[in-house]
Amino acid sequence: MALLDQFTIEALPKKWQDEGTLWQDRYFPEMPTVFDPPNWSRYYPETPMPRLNVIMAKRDGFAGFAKKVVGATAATADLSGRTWTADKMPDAQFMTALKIIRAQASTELGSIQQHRMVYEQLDHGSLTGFDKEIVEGMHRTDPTGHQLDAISFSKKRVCVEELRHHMQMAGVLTLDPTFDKARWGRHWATETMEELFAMKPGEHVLDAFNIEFKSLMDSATFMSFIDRVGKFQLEMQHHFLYGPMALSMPWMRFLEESYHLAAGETLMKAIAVAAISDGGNFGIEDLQQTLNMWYPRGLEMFGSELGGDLVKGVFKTLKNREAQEIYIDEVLGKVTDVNLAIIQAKAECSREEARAILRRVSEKGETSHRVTKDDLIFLPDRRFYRIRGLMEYGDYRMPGSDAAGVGYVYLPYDVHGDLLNDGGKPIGRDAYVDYLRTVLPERYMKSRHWDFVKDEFLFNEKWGTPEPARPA
Amino acid sequence: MDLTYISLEKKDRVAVAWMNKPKANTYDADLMRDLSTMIDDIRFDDDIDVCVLASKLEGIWSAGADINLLASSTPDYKAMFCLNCQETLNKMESTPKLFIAAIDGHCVGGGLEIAMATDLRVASDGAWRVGLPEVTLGVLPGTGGTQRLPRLIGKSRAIDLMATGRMITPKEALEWGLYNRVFPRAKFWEETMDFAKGLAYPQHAGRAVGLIKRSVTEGTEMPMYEGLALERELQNRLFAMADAKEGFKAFLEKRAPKFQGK
Repeated sequence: MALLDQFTIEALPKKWQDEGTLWQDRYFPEMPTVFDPPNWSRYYPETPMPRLNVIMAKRDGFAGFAKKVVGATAATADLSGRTWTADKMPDAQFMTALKIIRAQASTELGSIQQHRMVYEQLDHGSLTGFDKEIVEGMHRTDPTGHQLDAISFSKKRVCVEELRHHMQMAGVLTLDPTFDKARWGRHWATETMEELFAMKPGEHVLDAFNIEFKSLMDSATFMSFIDRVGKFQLEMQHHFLYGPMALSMPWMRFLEESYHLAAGETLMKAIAVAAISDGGNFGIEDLQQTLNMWYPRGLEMFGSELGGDLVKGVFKTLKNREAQEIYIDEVLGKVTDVNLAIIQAKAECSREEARAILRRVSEKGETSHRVTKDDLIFLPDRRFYRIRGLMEYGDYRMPGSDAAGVGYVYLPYDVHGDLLNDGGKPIGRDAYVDYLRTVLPERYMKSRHWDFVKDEFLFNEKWGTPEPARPA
Repeated sequence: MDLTYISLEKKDRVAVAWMNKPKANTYDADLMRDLSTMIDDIRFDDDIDVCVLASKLEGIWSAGADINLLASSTPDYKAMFCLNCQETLNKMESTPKLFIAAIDGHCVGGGLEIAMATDLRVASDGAWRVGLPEVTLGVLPGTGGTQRLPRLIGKSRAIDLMATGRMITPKEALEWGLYNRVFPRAKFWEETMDFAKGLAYPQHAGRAVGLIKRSVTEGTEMPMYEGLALERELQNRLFAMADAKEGFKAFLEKRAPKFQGK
């Protein structure tokens, strides 16, 4: 069966199609340039143009995709136990389904708002000094690739696909009229759609989508590390109890998301190579700081490591922690890929030789072929700069709490997972801020998200000071 | 019978209704609908005298109404929801069969309100919380709490517990008359089922138990003379049963009665 024959293509109800167009005019007015045939064929001559429709897998073709997803069981591919109209879901399941759909839809709109912050600068020649250095550095180290216009067009293509992903979620919410049937006295589909279209940058459900993109390094790292969490969610949600949501996953996961990841990985490698070769006034430490900033938010997108028990087997294939562990393994591989690219560029060697050099440098701390540990990037520890629940925080509790590791907590872990301490006690908050300034990008320390972290977590008195959960 | 959050097991004239709505058996319209369906089933089942209402969840009997629902629903919906909950619990209370809450965990808020609408409450001696903390949310216990609690433990203690929102232990609940029995946790289920079976046929006159419940729950809400009239009416029904004749006869013959529910 031809690939497209395994899918149905539908339009959104007119009201929501029109609302979507209004949103796109405001936040993504450059979209028509992507759909301009000469433009598209110049950058992607062999790839069909995106379709701005709701694209659902047909039921008889679904299993072929569902069997391939992370954590799949026989039930993941079996649609017989699913619910096909929203009104058949009990309240608790309906609200959980809505929460997941809302979060997913919010990320799609949020990421367009984020990407635009960078491609607008590329298009208008108003690059910051930092990004100008990056672009010029990439041109010097790889003169044939990563032209400004190609990077910009790639970002707009990603935005088109993100907008279509939003349409996909909008389709799940609005093509089944029972989703809007009054429940708890409210019309949830309509309310959710209106709320989503009203979300401004900084108001999205997940933190990762509320951080401003201030550099190409942000967009590259975001696509490689944050979009990868999206890939996990799209795969796990093949198990979704509400059938139409499950059917909405295959096209997004298998035909769209891979491009976003690949675009991010390629750009990240190019930036890394430029950083250690002849990148101008920026270095590998800038990329490391960018990774330090994004990675904790990516981990938090899985939800608390303590949770997901009720979702596994009903809405997703895995619990939060189970999925997060597989993700960590995968991104460790991506960090290795970046390091191999760095070594190949610096040592002018094959990939296999680069692997041997990487082992010597990273495991034994040696200098080999002029490559030192300081030329490479590493994955921060999973406890670093986390503002949402984490299992290890079970060793601590908040004053007055009779349960360890409950709620949002704060402890000063460094990038290597060591608890920064002074005389055996965790260092104070001001001291931790001083430390963070050395490992996070300077541009981030002036961002809205940093202010949010300071106000809501680090210096919010209501959290008190964590204390050991068990007497020493 | 189509139940989502309650599973019903029946054996030896005792039914066990297991609530299982993770993480805390918080109730919404769906759990209440299950509870109502389960009560209907017990009502019409001639082979059941006693129903034990228990939790499948470790350490929690019920944490009460779903706060997400209360926070997100319209005032009209909340009003209908409260009405529906009250009617469901009234139905349990007016069913002439014995309902026992078997509480092996925390029992707070609307969870305690459900437990108070059962006829007897037995608990394990774990470090559980018992209370009606709705005041801390700026509301009152609206699933019968303000009416049933003072009827069980007296007005003074009831206002104390509800107005402060403080929690007490199962042991205190026993001392106050809110709980009827507290069993060691290690033997909780064994003791509970022995207790429940001891109130059902053939060990006990199950029909008389059901009518005692009805006479108390409905009669005490009436003026004295009407209550006494109800009591006579129910007693006359029991007098007409073979069980009563067997009870009198066995007493005179100094032997254990053999009740048959006839």
